[in-house]
Amino acid sequence: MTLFSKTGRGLRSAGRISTRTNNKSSFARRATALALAAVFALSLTACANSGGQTAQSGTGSADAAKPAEVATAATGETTAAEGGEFVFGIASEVYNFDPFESTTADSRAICFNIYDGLMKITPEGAFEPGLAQEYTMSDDATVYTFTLRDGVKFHNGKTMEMADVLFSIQKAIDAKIKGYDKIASFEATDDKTVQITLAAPDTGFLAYMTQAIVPDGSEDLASNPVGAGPFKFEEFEEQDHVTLAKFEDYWGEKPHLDKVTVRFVANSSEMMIAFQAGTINGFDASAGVSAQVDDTNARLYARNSNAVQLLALNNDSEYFKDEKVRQALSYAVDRDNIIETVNFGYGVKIGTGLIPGLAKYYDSSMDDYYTTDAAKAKELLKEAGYEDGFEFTVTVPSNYQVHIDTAQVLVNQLAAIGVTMNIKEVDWATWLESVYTNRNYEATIISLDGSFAYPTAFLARYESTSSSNFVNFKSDDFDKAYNAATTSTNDEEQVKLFKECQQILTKEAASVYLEDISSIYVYSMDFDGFVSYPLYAYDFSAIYKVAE
Amino acid sequence: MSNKPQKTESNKGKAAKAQASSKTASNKGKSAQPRLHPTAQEPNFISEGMQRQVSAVSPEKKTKKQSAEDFREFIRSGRLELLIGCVLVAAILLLSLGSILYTPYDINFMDITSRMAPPSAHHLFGTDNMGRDIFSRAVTGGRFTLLVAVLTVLSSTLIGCVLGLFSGYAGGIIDEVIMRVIDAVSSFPGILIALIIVTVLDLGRFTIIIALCIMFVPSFTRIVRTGTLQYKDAVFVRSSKVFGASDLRLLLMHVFPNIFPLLLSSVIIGLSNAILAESGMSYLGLGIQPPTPSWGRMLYEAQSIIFKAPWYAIAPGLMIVFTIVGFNCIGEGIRKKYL
Amino acid sequence: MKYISRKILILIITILFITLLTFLAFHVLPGDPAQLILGTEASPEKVEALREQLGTNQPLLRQYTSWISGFARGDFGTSLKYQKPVAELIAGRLPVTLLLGTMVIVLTLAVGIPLGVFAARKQGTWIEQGVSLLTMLGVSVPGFFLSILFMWIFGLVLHFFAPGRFISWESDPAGCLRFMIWPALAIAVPQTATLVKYIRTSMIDELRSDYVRTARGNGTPENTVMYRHALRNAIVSVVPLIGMMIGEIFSGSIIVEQVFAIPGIGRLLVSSVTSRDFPLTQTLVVYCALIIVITNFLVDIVIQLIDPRIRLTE
Repeated sequence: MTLFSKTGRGLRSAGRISTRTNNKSSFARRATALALAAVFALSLTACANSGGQTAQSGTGSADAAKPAEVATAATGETTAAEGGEFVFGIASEVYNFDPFESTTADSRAICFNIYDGLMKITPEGAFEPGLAQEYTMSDDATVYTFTLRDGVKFHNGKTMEMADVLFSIQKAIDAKIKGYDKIASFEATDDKTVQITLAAPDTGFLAYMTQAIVPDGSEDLASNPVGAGPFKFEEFEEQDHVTLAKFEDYWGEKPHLDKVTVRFVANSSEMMIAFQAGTINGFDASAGVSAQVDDTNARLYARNSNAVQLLALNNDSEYFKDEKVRQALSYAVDRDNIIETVNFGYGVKIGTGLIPGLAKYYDSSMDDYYTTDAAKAKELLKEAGYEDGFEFTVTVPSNYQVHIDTAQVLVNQLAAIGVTMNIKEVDWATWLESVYTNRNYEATIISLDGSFAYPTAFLARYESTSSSNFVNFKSDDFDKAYNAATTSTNDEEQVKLFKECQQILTKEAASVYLEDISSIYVYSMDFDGFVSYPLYAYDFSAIYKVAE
Repeated sequence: MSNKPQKTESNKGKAAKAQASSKTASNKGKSAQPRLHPTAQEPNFISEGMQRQVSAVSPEKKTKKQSAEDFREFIRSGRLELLIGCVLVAAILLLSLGSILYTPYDINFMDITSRMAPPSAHHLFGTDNMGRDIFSRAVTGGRFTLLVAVLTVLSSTLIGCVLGLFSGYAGGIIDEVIMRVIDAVSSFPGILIALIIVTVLDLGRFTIIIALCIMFVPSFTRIVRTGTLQYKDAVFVRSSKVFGASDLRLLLMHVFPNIFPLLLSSVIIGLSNAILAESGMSYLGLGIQPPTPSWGRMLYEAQSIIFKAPWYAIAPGLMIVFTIVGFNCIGEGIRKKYL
Repeated sequence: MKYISRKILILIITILFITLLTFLAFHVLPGDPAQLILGTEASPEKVEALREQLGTNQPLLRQYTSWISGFARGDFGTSLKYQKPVAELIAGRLPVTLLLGTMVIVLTLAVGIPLGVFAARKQGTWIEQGVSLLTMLGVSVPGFFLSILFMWIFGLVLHFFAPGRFISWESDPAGCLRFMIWPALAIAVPQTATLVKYIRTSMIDELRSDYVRTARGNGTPENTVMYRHALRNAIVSVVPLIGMMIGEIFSGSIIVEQVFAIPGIGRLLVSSVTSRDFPLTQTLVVYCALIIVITNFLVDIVIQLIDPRIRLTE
């Protein structure tokens, strides 16, 4: 192992200059490995790949912003072997697998493998038919018709029928799943076709149709999930792991792996130790942790986490009710410095409340609307009447080290314009209630993710009356633009309107937008096949054990 | 630490050593305070084993190396330990307090070009994951850590002593009530106590002291109470009572001094526990709030970069170890010299 | 008999008092279990619906009384987070914590007491100095530091065990012991050092006291003096300490469980508090309280047995 990791390092640096050299070396190495295979069968072949296959860890910036490239860069030149178990470590615990109940990001990421919806998201961020064979949208974007796919089996062995689909849609409406409030009525026109009528036109409605379809009469999905996804739920142990098994009767392309175990690992040092000991084959961690992995012996994939990290300012609080103060902070903040200091450069600077992953809608012209300019910031503060600065408290959830670190950098940056920021850590439960729900705070740092890949998932919260508008942003211009955008049936116009929404957010400085932090996926050399989406999801069906 | 000179000495011959021990023994007999029982003076009571050792020594070697003997006596009397302890604690205090006046770098200054740098002339203890100077943060952190630890232990010892003496001496229903409340508090999860205190009493960054104090009171109370029970019926206490000593006087002058040696050990262990407990609280973000450094917080943060920058853990870790060893030496020294 | 029944009555009152404290704690703490399950993306109606389903929309006092009445009937309620019976969750964790605790206590007592006595016997020699140096280091080295160190050296470098992969007793008893010995040592080392320190200190104190000198003067053999008199009295002063250790260890060592990924009581407790899982926290607190109250009760009895000077009962 060690013998080869040294050469691997050399190859890797060569690979930076030219991929071609890289490939050749890889072949040479493979040949050597084959020759020696008789002696050191297993370890050598595994290592042989380490030279060529260290998938380039694309620095999260620029190119990763476009989901199309994210997808193609994913798979290396390895070939897939069928079968095997993949053990994946995540830093949080997923304990509720009910797709209608649990809406936390990690739950959705795991449920992505258990359930399929009528539509399925592609790595590019488009929507293609899933459990529906085909769909049509009426010209005015109010009536959607889905034809069910034949012979789709659920994990319980039952074949999908119209009753299951109707049950699931009703369940989603009852569970107040986002987007389902737009449905005015739905009915089965025949036993293969379901027609959904919306209250108002919405061209983005397909995004909501990725919501899970479950067997009619499903109960207790939280601990006994049954879906029609590529993996079926096998077992769950509190604070320890959840095991998924390959679903042999999956309607689509069947997964390579036989089994996937997701381990809930308490902290990052434990993650590193478990990875080095081979107890886990891969993990998802922040740059601070992943940067320690010996990348000659592991595959690293840096991808956008598809969440908006922001210094959220309570627009109803004493200082931040003044737009000028919010703008002053926006000028004071140096986002490049934050990305560099906290995330080792693995992050994409953003200037507005949408993820760059939704490239079609994202307005990149806002990225540099505020350039770091202390003089301008001070001037704005002076205009607002805070010539000598002021002092405020930022409430940060203590379970996110990355936000705490960001806060520590911000303390320094704001000190430069005479503003004193004090950090107050609270536990997640307190944060959710006091900050997010009751909006009893001055400022906070958090990453906001979208539950589906469509701008409304991120922008809806800034509507004046939105229940999730925890920054208390109120702008008539925004409300008008947002409303126009969601009801527009013209694609081009809609994109323009969504961009206008973003511009309003930036110009009125709803908050200080920082970055889309990169997630770094670390795989051992034995596994490959990484696919990412403009959505927080783990796609285990693409992962495979590397063939020798 | 204190034992190093001792060990080298021990090579120099069994005779000198044996003699020293007999010498110390007698010396100790004198210095061991005849606190409560004036008749307590008897030269060679330490151990019969040692007496046997002395008799085994041939007489002609006894005169050898008078100065070494003096040195041994110096050690045995606990003065060496006191010295080492005081030097260590003074050094830590000096560094910590000195940080008010001067640190090599601003504690919040981040230099990402030299992040996770190993210890060097520029950065004595290296730098952390954000390129901050660990030495500056460690010495500044000492100020806050020691303040929290010392205040926690002092206040909980005080409360523990009062409760323990009172509970043990009064006995009966009062004892029962106090001890059950103590049981309740000690079986209450520490994180819950800390969460509540921090939520209810928002007193800024030192709120944690109150939470830690509540967590520490039960152990001190129990130790003091057991000691009180042990001594309150002892002959010397009862005889003083016959002579009309008041309850308070009995407790303070006769019972308490007997518990003191044990209490001293607990106080010192309590100090290290308090430093570490603050680290545990950082886990839930309840400790000293960043960017203010504390040893506990640094240890906690170091965990995540332990592979790339182990020195981040070593700097606060060593500071903690030195401090605790220093306190331990002082404690041992006091015990040997005065008790 | 009267003594026992009185003790049981007191125990019940203590437990009630503790559950009341937990109730008050949850009363003042912000945090909503339903919101925690649903995350930031849920609409208020959805949160309300789940609250209704979990029963957390009822006043907390109502939740408390229903938990208490269930508890009295032996039903500990249903975990809000996992939506599983609390009893089942705890039963899954208990054997692990008990095993770890037993290992720690055996290690601590088996090493701590003899070493403490030995050090006291050899008082004034370099052996004592050596032992006191070791104990000094032992008590000064942070426990979780030791955990990470063990993990690294014995797990990653020497491959004595696979870090992060807990082996349950049912699947492989020998493997389980081989794994558990490391966390057990990580907890036991500081505990042993503390115990040695206390035993040595109080032994030396005892050896200096009147009665030991009198015994010696009367020509009592040294071993009798040591073990029948001095050790016996020294133990009286360390028994409460041992009691506290037992209480602490059996309520689960949070940090060590965290580092070694052991599914024990400590981690469950942290999770229950951070997820505001009232029935689960309440039951776990009662469990910890029972352990502590019972050990303290035993401590009192043991002290009386060893040292007749102490009379706790009227």
